[in-house]
Amino acid sequence: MTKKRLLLAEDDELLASLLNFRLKKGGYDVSHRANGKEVKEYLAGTMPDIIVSDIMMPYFSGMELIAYVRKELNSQIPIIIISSAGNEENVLNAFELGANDFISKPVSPSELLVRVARELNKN
Amino acid sequence: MLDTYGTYNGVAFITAPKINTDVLWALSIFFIVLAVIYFLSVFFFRNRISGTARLTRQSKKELSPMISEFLFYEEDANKDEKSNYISLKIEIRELLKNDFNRKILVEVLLDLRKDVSGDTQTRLFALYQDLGLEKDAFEKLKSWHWEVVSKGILELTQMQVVSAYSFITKFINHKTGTIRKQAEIATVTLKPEGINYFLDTTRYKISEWQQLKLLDVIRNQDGFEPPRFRMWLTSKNKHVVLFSLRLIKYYNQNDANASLIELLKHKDNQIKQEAISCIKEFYVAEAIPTLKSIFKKSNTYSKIAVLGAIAEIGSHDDLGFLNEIEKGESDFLVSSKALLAINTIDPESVMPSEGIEVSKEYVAEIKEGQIKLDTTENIEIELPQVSAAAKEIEEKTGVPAIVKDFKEEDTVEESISVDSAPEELPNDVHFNTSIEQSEEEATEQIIVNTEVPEITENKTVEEKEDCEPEQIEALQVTEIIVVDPVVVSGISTKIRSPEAEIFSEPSLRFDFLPLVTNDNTHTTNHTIPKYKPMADSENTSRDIKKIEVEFDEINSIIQSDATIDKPDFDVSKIDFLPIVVEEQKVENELPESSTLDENEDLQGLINEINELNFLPIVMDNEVVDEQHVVDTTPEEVETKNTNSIDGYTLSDFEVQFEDTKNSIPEVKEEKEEISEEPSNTNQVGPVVNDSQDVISWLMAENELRENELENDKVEPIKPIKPFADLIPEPIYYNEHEAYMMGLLDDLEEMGDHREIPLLQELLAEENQSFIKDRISSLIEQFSYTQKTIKQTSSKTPVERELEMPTFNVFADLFKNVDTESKLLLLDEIVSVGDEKEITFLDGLLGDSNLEIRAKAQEVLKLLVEKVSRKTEFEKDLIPRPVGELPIDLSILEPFIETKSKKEYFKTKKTAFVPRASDTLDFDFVLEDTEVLDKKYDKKVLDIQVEANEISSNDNSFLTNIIDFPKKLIGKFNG
Repeated sequence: MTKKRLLLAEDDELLASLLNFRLKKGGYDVSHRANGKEVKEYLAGTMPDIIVSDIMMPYFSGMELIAYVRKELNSQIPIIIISSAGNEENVLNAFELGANDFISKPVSPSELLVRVARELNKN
Repeated sequence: MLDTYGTYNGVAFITAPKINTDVLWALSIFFIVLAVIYFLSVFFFRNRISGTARLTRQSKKELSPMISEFLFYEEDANKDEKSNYISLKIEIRELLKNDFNRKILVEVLLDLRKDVSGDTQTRLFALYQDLGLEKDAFEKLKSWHWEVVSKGILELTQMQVVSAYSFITKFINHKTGTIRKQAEIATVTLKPEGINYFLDTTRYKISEWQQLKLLDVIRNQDGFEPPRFRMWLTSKNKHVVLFSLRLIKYYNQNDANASLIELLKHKDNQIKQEAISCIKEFYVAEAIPTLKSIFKKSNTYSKIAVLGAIAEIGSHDDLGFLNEIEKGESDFLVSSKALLAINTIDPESVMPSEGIEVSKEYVAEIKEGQIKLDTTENIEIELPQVSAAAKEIEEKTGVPAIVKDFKEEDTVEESISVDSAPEELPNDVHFNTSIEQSEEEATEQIIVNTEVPEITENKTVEEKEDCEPEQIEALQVTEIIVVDPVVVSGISTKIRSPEAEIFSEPSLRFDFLPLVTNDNTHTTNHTIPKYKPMADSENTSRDIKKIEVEFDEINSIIQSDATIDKPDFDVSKIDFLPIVVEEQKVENELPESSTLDENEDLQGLINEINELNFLPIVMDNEVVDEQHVVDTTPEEVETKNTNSIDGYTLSDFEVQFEDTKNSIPEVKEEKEEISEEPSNTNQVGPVVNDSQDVISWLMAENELRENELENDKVEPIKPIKPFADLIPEPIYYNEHEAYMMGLLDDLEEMGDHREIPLLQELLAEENQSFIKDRISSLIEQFSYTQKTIKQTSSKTPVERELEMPTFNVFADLFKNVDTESKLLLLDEIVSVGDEKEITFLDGLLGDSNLEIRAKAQEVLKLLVEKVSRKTEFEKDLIPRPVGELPIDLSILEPFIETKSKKEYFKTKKTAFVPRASDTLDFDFVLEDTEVLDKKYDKKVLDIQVEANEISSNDNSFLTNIIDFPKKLIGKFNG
C-alpha cells in the first residue's frame, strides 16, 4: 500500500522535526518545507495528498498558501493549518479561504495524526 | 631698551606650541592600533557569536531527531527500534557530558514545551528528568547571581520538576523581588497545595500583576480544588488578606460573611473596598449597619463602594440614610452615588430636577379624587399600535377586542374602576396626553377613587406640587378590553384588559399560562391592577407577578367516572403497540367470530392483509393449538384470524399475518416442538381484545408476556445427573502407596532424565497398577526430555547459539549505566567473561562512543586470546603421549621428582578424563572447539592478538607450566 504524501510547511525547525518524525511514524510520506517559497516550488512539481501548514512562514504565509492551492492550483486537497495565532479572525479567514481544519499551538502530535487521517478519510 | 627688544625680537603674544612630532606619531600609531584592535575584536566576537549560533543551530538540528525518537518511543517497539533507542540513549548521554550540549538540549526541550501539548508534553517533561537536566537547574539555584537563580526556578517550573518544590519554596521570602516572584509562581504551579503554602508563608507584598499571574496559574491548573480562602483573612500580611478576598470573590466562597463584615472596619481602604465588593457580590444584607457605620470614616472611593453596596443589597429602610448622605455630603461623587442608590432602591422616588423648563403649558391639572397618570415615553403606545395589539388578541382568542377610546366613549366609568395607587398601574395602559384636549374631556375620561399626589409627563417636582387638578388639560386614555369570555380548548376563559395590554408587547407571550375563568366575573367591572408606572425593563418579571389573576376551577377538567370508564379512545392511534392475544378467549371467540364472515368490512380487511404479502411474519404468540391448526384449512385459519381482530383496523396490526398459507407449516412445527407442555398447547394466536378498554388491553399484553416467559421454558429439558454424582469418590492410600505417590510427586516436580534409572527400579519393584502407571508416565516424560537434550547436543554450537535466547549479563548492565561504568564493565569482561561476550563486544565495535569502541576492541582482543588459550588448554586435557606435549619436562624436575610421569598422568587422567563407567546414559557431546567453530565477523577474526597482553586469572601452576613454552617462543620471536 502506497504511503500518503504529506507536505509539512513549518518554519520552526524543532517543531517541524518533531511533527515530521511523528507523521512518518504514523505511516505518511512526509516532505518538509521551511518556507513559502520552498512550498511553492514543491507544489509546482508534486501535489501531495494533504498539506499541514503553519500560518506564519517566510515569503509565503499559510493563508496565501491556501489561496494559492485553492485558486491557482485549483486543487481541493485537504489543508490543515497549525498556528499559534489561533484567534477567531485567523481561524475564520483560514476556513473562508478553504482550510479543512485548524489546530492551535501548542499542538499535540497524536492529535494532528488523527486529524490528518480523518481528513484523508473524508476525501 | 625694551622697545628695541620688542621691535627686533618680535615678542609674540600668541605663540604656537612646539609640536612634538614623535609624540604625534606615537599617538597616531596608538590609535591606529586601538582601531585595529577594536575592529579585530568586533570581527572576532561577531564571528564567535555567529559561530556559536551556527553551532547551536547545528546541535539543535542534530538533537531534535534524537528527542523525537525519545518522545515517540513505545515499549512495544520492534527490535530494531529498541536497539536504535538504546544506542541513541547512549549517544545522548555522551553528548550530555558536554556542557554546551546540555545547554542546547535544555533549550530545545524548553522550546518544544511551548509547541507541543498532551501526551508529548508529558513525555518531554519525563525526558528532561530522565536525562538528568534538572540537575543543572538545581545547580543554578545555588548561584549568587539572582538572574541565574531566577532562570533555574523558571526552568524547573516550566519542566514541571515537582521534586524541586521544596527547594523553590525557600525562595518565597527572598529579598530579591525577581527571585521571590519566580518562586511564588513556581510554588503555586508545581503543587496544588502550593497556594496554601504561599499564602501561609509570604511576608512580602503581592503586587497586582503578581496576583493576576498567580490567579492565572491556579485557574489553569488541572484538578485544582480551591481551598477555603477565608482562612487567610486573618493573615498579618495585608496583601495576603487582599489577595484572599479577591480569590474568595473569584471562587464565590460565600462562607466568610462575618469575616467580611469585620474587614469592613479595616484601616486599609483597598481591603475595605474589596470586602465591600465581596459583600455586594454575596448579598450580605446583615453587613448594612456596618456599612453605614464605616461610611463617615471612609475615603471617597470607599464611600462610593459603600453606597454601591447599599444600593444593591439595601431596602427602603435605608432610604433615610441615603437621603441624608445625598443632602449632607459635599462631595459630588458621593452625593450623586447616594442619589443613584436611592433611585435603585426606590425607582422614581427622586425625579429629574435639573434643566427642567417651567411652563404653564406643561402643567396638567388633575382634579381631586381623580387619578394622575404618568405618561412617559416608554409607556406610551400610539393608537395604531394599540389597534395592532387588539387585532393580535382577536387573532389569538377569536373574540373581538374592544378598543375603547375614552375620548369617544363616556362609559369608561362603568368598565373601569381604579382602586389602586397610580404608580402601580401597568405601564402598558395607554394614556395619551393631549394638551389641546379640554379639561372637561379629561375629567370625564377617568375617575379615580384614590388620591394620587402626582404626576404628569415632563413635570418637575416643583410643578407637581403646584399642580392643580384643573391644570390637566387633556388626558386621553385608550384601553383594550376584551369583555366576552373566550373558550379555548373547551375551557371557558376571559381575557381582561391587563392581559390584553400584555399582548400589545410582542416580546411577552402569555399564551402558555392557564386560562382562568370565574363564573362570577362575567361583568365589565374591571380593576386596573396595581402597577408601577415607571417600571424599568428589569422589573418586567416582577410586574408580571403583580397582575391580578382570579383563580377559578376549571370545570371541563373534572369529569364523571363514567367518562373515564369509556374514554373516547381510538385504537388506530396506538398501532405502535404490539398485538395482544388473550389466550382464554381465543377458542371461545373463534366460533363466534365465524358468524362475522359476511361482514364486508372484515372482508375488505382480509383483502388488505392479503395484499401485504411483502411484510415479514411476526407471531406475537407462537403457541397455536395443534388441533385447530391441523383441522382447519388455510382459508379457515385466515378467516378465523381475521375474525378475531374484530373492532380493529388494519393499522392496529402493524406487522401481522401476511400470508397465512405460508405461515401454517411453521406454526405446526413449533407446535410439535412444544407439544410436551400441555398447559400451553391450547393457546391460539389470533388477537382478541376489547378496543374500548385500554386497561384491559394492557393487562392482556401483560398476560401475553407471561405466556412468552412460559414458552421460553418449554425447551426440552435434558436429564440432569444428580450433583453428588459429579464429585469424584475419595481414594484412600495405604502407607506405602501414600509414600510412593508423594515420592513420585516430588520426582515429577523436581526430577529430570537422571531419575529414569531410579524410576525403572521402582517400576520393577512396584505391584500397584496405578503406581506403575504413574511411574511409566514419568519415565516417558523424562525420556522425552532426554531426547530433547540429545537432539540439542547433536546440533552444532552455531545452531545451538542461534536457537538459544541471546542473553548477556554485560549487555543488560550496559543499558543503564554511563560511559565510565561501561568502561569499567569492559575491563571486567576480560577477567570474568568468556566466549559468550565476544558477540556482545563485537556489537560494541560499532558503538557511537569512540572511547567505548576503542575499549571494546582492546577487550575483544584480550578475550579472544583468553578463550583461544583456554580452548587449547582444554584440548590439552585429553591424555596425549608425553612426547606430544608442548613442554619440556626437564624444566619440571622438582615436580617430576616427587611423582613419576606415569603417576602424574594417571592422576591427571583420573582428575580430568571421565571414565567409561562415569559416562552418562545419554550422549552429551562436549565441544572443545566451540569458540573456534563459531562464525565470527572477519574483523573479529582479524584482530591482532598479542600474547603479552593477556591478563588471566588462571594463575594455577599447571597453566604457568603450559604457558611457559609460549612465552619462550614469544621471547625468541622478539
